[in-house]
Amino acid sequence: MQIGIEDEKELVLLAKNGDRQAYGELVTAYHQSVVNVVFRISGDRYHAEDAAQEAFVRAWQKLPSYRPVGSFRSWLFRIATNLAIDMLRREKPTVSFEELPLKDKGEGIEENLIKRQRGEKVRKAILSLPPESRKVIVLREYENLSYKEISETLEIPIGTVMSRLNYARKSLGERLKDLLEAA
Amino acid sequence: MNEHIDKLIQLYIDEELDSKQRGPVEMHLKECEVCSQKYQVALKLSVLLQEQEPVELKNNSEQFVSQLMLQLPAIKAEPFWNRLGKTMYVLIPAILLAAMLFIRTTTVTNIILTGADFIGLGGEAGNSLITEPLFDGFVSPLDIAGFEIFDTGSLIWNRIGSFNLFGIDIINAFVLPLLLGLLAVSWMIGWWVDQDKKQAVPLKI
Repeated sequence: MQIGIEDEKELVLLAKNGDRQAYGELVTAYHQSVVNVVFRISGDRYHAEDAAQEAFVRAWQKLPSYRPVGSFRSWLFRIATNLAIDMLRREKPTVSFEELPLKDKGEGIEENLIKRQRGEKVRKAILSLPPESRKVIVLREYENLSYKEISETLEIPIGTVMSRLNYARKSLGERLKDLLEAA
Repeated sequence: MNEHIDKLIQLYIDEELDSKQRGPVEMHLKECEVCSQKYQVALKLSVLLQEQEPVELKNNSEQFVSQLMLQLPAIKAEPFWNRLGKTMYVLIPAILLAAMLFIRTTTVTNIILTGADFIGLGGEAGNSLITEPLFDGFVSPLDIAGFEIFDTGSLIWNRIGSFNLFGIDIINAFVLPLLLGLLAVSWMIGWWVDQDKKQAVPLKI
């Protein structure tokens, strides 16, 4: 569900004053993105959804002091990325990528298997990055955030966003060389 | 654009260049084999990363939201003192600054009018500049505020005139430095509170 900027501002204002229904609409709009961000950064598919719930609870608790300097999405992603890093510190991923279902798009078994193996390699390559670079590449490649939005989300200068992105890509390029050559 | 453009390739792929900047980059990519190859590799990596399936959710949006609602604690309105504090650390310096400017202005006006008197314009000229009624019955805001202009051109604020003690101008000697000190301290506190909050946000959430 997509919501316009003005609608979002209004919903945030209502939610700040304790309106649960308004907050529910914001959650509906962003919950898939938050789960994805947590999963891509922590690598833990099994706990990603629970962690997303926790992120939304924390956001709700922080809402009264939320200052709309950047977008609500950036603020929410800041909470989610920090939570994902906390998760990594707390526990290692317990369930392998292959053990859990992917969205079935009616592809053949073999194709699905190849895709899974590729996905597993990509996931491991991303997890091998330092957390700070990992956050930047995930927000850029999976959530399509602009440099400015990433800078707001992570509270770092745009120059740092660029250098971390550059480092992450170089690093991933080396680790995923075989997949890139085969493509 | 004869040199290689590694940085621009990244910006180009991330759509961070405007239409004017994209043209020369596209031209260069057509002409330079090295950059074109780098661009292809960068693009392949982007495609490879983005082709990853999103996580399949255990719950749909409605279930997710209803589960979440059960976990949400009652929202605590921000305590009055917190809100007051946030306002005050902006408001107090502003009030102090306004007070200083007000007092200083009377001093500066004094100097200007004394100067006017000195070069021969006289107190009357100053008087006419400031207090001459625009029409019958007009009361100057200066009168209301308690100012009086002497024949010599000096502007006196009656309400602070009585603060002269043993020939010492209390306002200028003590009150202004005190206000200045308070201003500096309140700004420092405001800055500290603000910095503290900025640092606290990423740690707490």
